[in-house]
Amino acid sequence: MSERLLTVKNLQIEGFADDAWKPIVNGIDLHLDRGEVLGLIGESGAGKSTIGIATMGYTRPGCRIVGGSIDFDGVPILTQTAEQIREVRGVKISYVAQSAAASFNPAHKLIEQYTETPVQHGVLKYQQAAQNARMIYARLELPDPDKIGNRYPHQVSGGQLQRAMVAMAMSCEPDMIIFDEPTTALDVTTQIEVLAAIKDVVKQFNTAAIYITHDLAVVVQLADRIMVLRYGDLVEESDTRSMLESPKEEYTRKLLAVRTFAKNPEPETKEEHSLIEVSDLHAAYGGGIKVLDDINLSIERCRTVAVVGESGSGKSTLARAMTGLLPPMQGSIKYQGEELPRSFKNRTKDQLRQIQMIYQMPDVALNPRQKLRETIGRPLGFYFQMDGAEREQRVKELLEMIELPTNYIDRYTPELSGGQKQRVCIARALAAKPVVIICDEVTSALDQLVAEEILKLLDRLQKELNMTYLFITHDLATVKAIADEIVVMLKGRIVEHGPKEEVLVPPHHEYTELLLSSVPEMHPDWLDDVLASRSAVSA
Amino acid sequence: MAILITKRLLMMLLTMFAVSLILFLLLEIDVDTIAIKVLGQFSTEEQRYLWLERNGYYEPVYKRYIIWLGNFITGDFGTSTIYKIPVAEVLWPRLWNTTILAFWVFVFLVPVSLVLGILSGMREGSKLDRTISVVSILTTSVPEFASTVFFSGLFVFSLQWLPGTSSMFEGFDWKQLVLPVLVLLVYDFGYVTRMTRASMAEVMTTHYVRTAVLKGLPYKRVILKHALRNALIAPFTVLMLQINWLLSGVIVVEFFYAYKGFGALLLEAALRQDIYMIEACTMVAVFVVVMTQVFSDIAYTLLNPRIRFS
Repeated sequence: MSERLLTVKNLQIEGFADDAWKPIVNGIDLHLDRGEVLGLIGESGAGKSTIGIATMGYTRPGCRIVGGSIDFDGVPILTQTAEQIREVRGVKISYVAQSAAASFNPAHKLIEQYTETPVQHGVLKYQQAAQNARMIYARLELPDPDKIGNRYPHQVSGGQLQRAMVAMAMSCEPDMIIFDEPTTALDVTTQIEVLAAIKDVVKQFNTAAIYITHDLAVVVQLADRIMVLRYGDLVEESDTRSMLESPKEEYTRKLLAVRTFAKNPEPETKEEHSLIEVSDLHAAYGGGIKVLDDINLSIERCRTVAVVGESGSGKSTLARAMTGLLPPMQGSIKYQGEELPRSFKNRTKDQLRQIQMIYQMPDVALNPRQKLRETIGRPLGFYFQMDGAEREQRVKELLEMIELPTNYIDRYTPELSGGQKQRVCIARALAAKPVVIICDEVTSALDQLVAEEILKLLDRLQKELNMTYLFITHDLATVKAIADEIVVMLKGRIVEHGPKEEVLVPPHHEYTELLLSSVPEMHPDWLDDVLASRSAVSA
Repeated sequence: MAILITKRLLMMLLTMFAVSLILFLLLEIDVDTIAIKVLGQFSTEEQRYLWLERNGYYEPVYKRYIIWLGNFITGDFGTSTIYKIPVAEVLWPRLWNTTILAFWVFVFLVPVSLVLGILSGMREGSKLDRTISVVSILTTSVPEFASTVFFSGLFVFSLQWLPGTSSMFEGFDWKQLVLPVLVLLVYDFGYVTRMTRASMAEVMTTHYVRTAVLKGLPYKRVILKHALRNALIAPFTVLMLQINWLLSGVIVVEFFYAYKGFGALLLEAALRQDIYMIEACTMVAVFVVVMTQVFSDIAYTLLNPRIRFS
C-alpha cells in the first residue's frame, strides 16, 4: 500500500570524547514509509538526534558515521559526494531544530531565509517562493502572514519563530522532515499551537517525518509508530497505540509512568505569623517595564508553594525580589513577622542563610574547578565557621542526605551527571541549614526520569528536615507532583492562588484552565480533542 | 537611528569635556610650573610674574578654564615652546603625515587579516588554520623595535632596495613609506587575524550555520551569506581600535625611521616639556578615539539588526 521512503540499516556512529572515539549509536535499523510519522524517543544521550540528522548525511562536529547504510528514496546517502548530498538537503529532506531562535540567522529577514532554499536549488523563482511563504505562514496561523516575513527573527515570539521554522522546512515541499525537539523550549500553551501546525502540514502535504523528542506525551499526538532508544540502542519499537496499551520493555513502562509521582500534601500549620509574607510587591528591571505588579503572597512553614506561569510571567523575578537580588520598587517582604531589607546587601548573614536558592541549570550553577568538598563545604565555613575534620564529616553527611556516595567528595562537578549535579546544588543549599529553599525551575533541564528522582528527594528532605519550598516552574506536571499550594502568575500578576485541591479542580480561572488543558496527555487523541473543544468554544 | 547618533554625539562631547577638565586640572593649575616650562628654568621670579600676569594666569580658575576651553575649540592651541610658532602649524601637518601612514597600513591590514582570519576560522583545527595561527602568533610576538632593525638590515643594508630613513625632506616619496608600513603591518595583522579567526570559528559552530548547511546551500554561500556577516561584527570593533593604536602607538616606528608624524611629535613634546603641544596632542588623540567609537557604534547597529530595532 505505502511506498518505502527511508531505510537505515545497522547505522553506527561514534563520538569523540576524552581522547577516544566512543560509540553513540550501535547499529540501529530504521525504516519510514511515505507520509508516515516516526517518533524517536529517549532521554539525553540516547542518540536520537544523531540518528535523525545522520539521515541527511550530516554529523555534528566530533561525530562520525562508522558503519551501516542509509537509503533515501533510492539514494545511498552515505556514499554520495558532498555535492550530491547538497541536492537532497533542503529539497528532499529538511530539518526543524529545537531552538528556532538560535537556528535562524539573526542578520536576515524571515522571508529571505525562507526563499533561500528553493531559489538556491533552482526549484522556484524568488517571487513564487515568497508567495508560497505567505500562503504557508497563513496556513500555520502566523499573524499578518503577508508582512511577517519582513521581520527579523528577534522581532517575533518564540512560538511564532518555531512555526516560521516549520514553514521554512516546507519551502521545497520535501518528502521527509526531521523534527528535532521542536517544542521542547516552548511554553505549554505555545507548544500546542506548534504541534497543531506540524500535524496540519504533515498531513496536508503527505510528508513523512521523524519526530525526535524526550516527551512521550508529545510524540504520541503525532507519530504513527514509535521507537524507544537508550544509550544508542533500540529498546522497543511498535505502533503508537499498541505501545501505549501494552509496552513490552521495563524502560518503556518507566517512561510511560513518568509524571505519576505525587507527594502527600502537608497538613496546614497555624502559626501566629506566616513564615514569609509578601505584600504589595512591585518590581522592575532598570526602572523600566514592571515585571511584578502588586504581588501578595504568604508562605506557611513546611509547605510547598508552587509558582507556575509561562516565560515572562515574572515568576523568576519574584524569586529574585524575595532573595534581594533585585530589590523591589515597593512593597514589603516579612520573614517570621520581621521585615527583610529589600536588598540582599542589607540583610544579615543569618537572614541570608535561612533563605537558600537552587537554580535551573546545575551545569552553570556549580564551579567546574571545585571538588564537591569545596562546593558543599564553602557554606559550612561561611555560615558556621566549620573547618577541618568537622567540616569534612558534615559534607559527607550532606552527600548521604542527597543519596550520593561519600567518596564523591573528591570529585569535580564535571564528572557528575546532570541529575547528580542538581543533587549537589541541593546539598549546597542544605549546608546552610535553611528554613526556606527557593527552587527555580530545578527540574526543567533534566530528563524526566531524573527529574522525578529529584522531586522525590526534595519531598523526602522536606519531611525529614521540615523544609519550606517555594517552587517555581512552568511545568504543571511538576506542580501536580509536589505542590501543597499553587500560585498562578500571568504577566507579573497573580491570577489564582489557593491550595492544590482547589486550584486543580474546576471551576478554574480562565488562564489556569488554558494552562491545564495545554499539558499533553499520554493519549493519542488528546491534541485533536483539545483543538476541537477550543474551536467549539470560540465558534 | 537619528536619536542614536545624537545620543552618541552628545556622549562624545561629554567625554571630551571630562577629559579637557582633567587635562586642565593636571597641567594648568600650578601656574609657577607653567611659567618655568614656558620661560625656561633660568628665568627670574619677576619675569615669570610679569608673564603670568600678562597672560591672565592670575584670573580665577573657572574663568581661566573657560577661556582655555574657548581657545581650544577655536583651534588656538597656543605657541609651541620648542618651535616658537603656533602649535597648530606644527600639529596639523604632523597629523596628516600619520594619517597617510595609517591609511596605507589599513589598506593592507584589513584585507590581509580578514581573509586570513576567515580562512583560519572557517575550518578550525585544519592544516591551513594551524599554519596561519603559527604565523600570526610569531609575527605579533616580535616587537616593533626588533622588526624595524631586522627589516632595515634586510632591505636597507643587505638588499639596498629601500632608504633607511623616512623623513621625506624632499617631498613625498613612496619608497620611504614602505618600511614603516611593513613593520606596522607585520606587527599588527596577526592580532586582527586571531580576533577574526576566533569570531569566525564561533559563528561556524552556531545553529544557524548548521541550518544553512542542512538547507543544502553551497558552502561558499554558507560562508559568505550566513557566517561572514555575523562573524565580522567583533573584528570590526577591533579594527576601529587599531586606528587609535596607529595614531599614538606608532611612536617607535616613527622615531626609528625619523618619520615626521604625530607619534614622534608627541614623544618630542613630552621629552622637552612643550606644555601646549602636549595638551593639543592629547585633545586630538582623545577626539580621534571618541570619534572612532561613535563610528563603530553606529556601524555596529547596521551590522546587527538586533541592536538596530531594539
